[in-house]
Amino acid sequence: MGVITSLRKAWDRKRLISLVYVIQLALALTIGLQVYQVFEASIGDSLALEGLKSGYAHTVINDLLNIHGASLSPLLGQVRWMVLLYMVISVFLSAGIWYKITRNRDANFWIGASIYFVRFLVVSVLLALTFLVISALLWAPYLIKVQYWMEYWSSEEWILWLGIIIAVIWFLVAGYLFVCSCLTKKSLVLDERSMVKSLGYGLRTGTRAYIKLLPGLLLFAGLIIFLYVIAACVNEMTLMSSSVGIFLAFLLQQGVVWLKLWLRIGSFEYVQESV
Amino acid sequence: MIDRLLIMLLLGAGFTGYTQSLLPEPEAYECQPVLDDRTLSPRLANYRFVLDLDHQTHLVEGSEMITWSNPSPDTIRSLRLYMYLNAFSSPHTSYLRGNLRNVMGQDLTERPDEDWGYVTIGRAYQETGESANHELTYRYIQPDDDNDQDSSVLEILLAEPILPGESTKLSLDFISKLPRTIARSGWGEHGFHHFVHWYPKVGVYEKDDHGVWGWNCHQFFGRMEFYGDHGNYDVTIDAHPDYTIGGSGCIELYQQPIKGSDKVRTRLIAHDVIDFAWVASPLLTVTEDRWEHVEIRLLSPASHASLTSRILGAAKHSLSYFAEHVGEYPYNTLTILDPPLHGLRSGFMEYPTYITGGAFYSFPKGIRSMESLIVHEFAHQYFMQILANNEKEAPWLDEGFVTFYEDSVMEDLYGENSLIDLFGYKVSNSSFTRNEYVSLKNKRSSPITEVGYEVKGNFKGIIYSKTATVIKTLKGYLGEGPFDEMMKTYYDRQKFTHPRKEDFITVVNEYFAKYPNLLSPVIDDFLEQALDGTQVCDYAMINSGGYKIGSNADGGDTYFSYLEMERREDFIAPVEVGINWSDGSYTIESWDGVDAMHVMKFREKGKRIISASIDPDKKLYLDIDFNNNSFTTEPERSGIMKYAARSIFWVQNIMQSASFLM
Repeated sequence: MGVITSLRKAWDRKRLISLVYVIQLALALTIGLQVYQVFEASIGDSLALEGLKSGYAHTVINDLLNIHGASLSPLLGQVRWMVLLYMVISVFLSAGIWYKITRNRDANFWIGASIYFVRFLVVSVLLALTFLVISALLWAPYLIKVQYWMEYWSSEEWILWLGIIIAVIWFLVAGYLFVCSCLTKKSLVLDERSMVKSLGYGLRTGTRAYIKLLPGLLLFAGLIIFLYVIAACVNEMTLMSSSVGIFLAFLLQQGVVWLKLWLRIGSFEYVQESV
Repeated sequence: MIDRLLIMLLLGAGFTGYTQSLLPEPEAYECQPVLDDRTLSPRLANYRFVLDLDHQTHLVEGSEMITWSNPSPDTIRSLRLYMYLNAFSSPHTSYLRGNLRNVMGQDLTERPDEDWGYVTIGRAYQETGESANHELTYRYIQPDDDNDQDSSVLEILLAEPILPGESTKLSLDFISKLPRTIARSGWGEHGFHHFVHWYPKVGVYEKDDHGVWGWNCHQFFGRMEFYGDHGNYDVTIDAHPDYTIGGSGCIELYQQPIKGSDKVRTRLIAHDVIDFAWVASPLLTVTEDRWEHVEIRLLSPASHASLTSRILGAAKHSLSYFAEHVGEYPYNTLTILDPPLHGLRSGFMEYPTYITGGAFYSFPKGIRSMESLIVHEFAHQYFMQILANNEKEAPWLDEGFVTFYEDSVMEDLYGENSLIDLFGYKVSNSSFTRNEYVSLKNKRSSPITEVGYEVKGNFKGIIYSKTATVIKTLKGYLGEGPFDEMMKTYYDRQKFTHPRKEDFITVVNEYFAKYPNLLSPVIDDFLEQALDGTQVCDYAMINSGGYKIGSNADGGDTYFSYLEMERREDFIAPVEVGINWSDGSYTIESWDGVDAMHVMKFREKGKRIISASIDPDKKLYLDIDFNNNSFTTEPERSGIMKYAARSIFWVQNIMQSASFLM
């Protein structure tokens, strides 16, 4: 199945995408509203706010952080816990999504999510740990050696290119684990295999099919980058410094978030249908 | 280590006897290091070197002729010399002791013997004008601490005293062995050799703050830079032909073959400078450019070819800006070293007509720290080289002024977002500098005029950034034109001298009297707080309001309005208060800034206050919180919404990325 067909199929799951989007938005709003409150309480009556409308205002933000940083730093801790919480919720949502994708359109999302949550959680944790270990193996030697290379190598050109090569490998590994994750979950739900067998299937089939799937995955990655670029460009437009413009920019950002979820489900469809 | 000590003992034993000069007579030269071949300085300390570089042992062996004039009414019986390379001769020097685990990011606890360096004198003679010269005795002294393992200052006992106004010639044999670079001076891989504070150099004989003449020749400590008298340098270097050579001054000879030798000869001439530094490396390429009378020579690794125009552009704009706003650049040359990666520890530094930067392959154009660094180091040509303040005792007079001008040049060249303009993240140099000061955890650790090696707390935040912020404040009150005039006067009066705090204060007082402004009546108090004090400045507009108090016969209303302001810290300065009225008018009031709380009341026909700002033009750049300077009764909060929306967006993205395998 091609990328376009996958995306078309994913488009049919608009309600599902919107459900995930709403959960994400609800969690993120708790941070956003607190940010609003801290800004309002600290500099809400200041003319310095004018400087924030046009984008990043270094002096305003730094004075805010210097004087009111203690009010903002707890939010960073909250973001960390929220991301962890979302990762667990995401496993639950993925179980429901895969149940819908692999069974049929009438399969009940919530039932699927409930049945497969624990197994998906175990598989996701295993794959996430694998990714962390591989990341450490790839990056730690590089980062440890950089200072040594700075003393002994004739040019940083090679350090940069080595870093780029490692980054490319890292992304390829991430893509590979993503494919394995998809195929493992498909096997869990569709074939009703045990976790170990599903994981074995996922890794074996993923390894065989990765090269074939890679162009499509790169296209998905390219589309995500394209969305970020669009969002960044629009955000930089002068228009986006007015109240209406800021609201439009917010809508656009939320559109990007929704479309990224669509691409994610499209990539699930792509992997499971292509293998 | 033992070998080295033996050599030092043998060479430095100090016999007394008679011999001829160690150096041949100097040959004439044609290159002109100084514009129109003028004599710019008193030329108290002049040097001539004939050097032989052995790149395999990282050592120069050579002879040095010092011609030193006595500027004092005293009879001088000994000379003090900086031997600063000895700061890197062992872990026990005053520069390194107690701090071996992290010296510029290096752990020196296990450093091999061959990686240490030193400078040592062999024979030393005083030329007397007779047929023979006196061989001299010398000893290492520690004028600042009791560390007898520190040999960074040498005292030479003269055979014949130098009378007031008279001069003498010393002739020395010496060896400088570079360390593997710890800080600035040293060797790196691939043949990189950087010779800075590498030779026996005379200290400064001057009047101290109490008017007493004596040597100002400190030992080398970690937070210290340099101090020397202006003079002429004539440096001949024999080196391997593969080595590119560059340094202070103009090139009289470049890689000229030497009869009977496999080395080539380079000769550099520098006039009216306080020091001489040079580099030798086989991996440097040379790019030449010109700005008016100045020949610019950029030495950089081949991999930095794409950065050349950025570096030269920053250098040329610096030359242009300083010529217009401070004073003429009187030298005909400027050499820039863009060090290769393995020479990076030698970067980020200034020497007379020779500066070192720090650039990286493929550095994004939107991040201009590389250009900013070039501007900073160039600015030192004025503040520490031409205006040769004592960098050890009064570092604010160079680093602070240089930081201020770095910001000014960068913003003149690149505009509002001069330092960073990348992916919507925009930062100006002066905002960055101010933030380095206002974000200090302890803004009261030291006054900016503290003796350099006594500065407590964050050296850069206080000496560089707070000083630059003070100077920007002076500029804010005085105005751009008068400020430039003031700095030109300071430059003209103090060039090729050793300016001190009082010299700057004199010119500031003069110009605040000549161009009266809000700060003029209290300029003495301001300078005392800003330069010698540790007070912190924060003025806040805490409230504004009003109400209708009656109607006029003509049908209009009369309003009562008020402003409540606070001085939240202990720095006192007069400020302007800008007021926006409901009829669209704008007025400016002033407040002497003395009271801890101040209320302004107004009865106005047909208008009430909408918003007000203390110091609306940000003249008092020392204020640590600009956000609380203003208050509006009609807040426009869309800016907050923008940040809240962005935080929502980025939290969503973080959640999505973190859960890609879930």
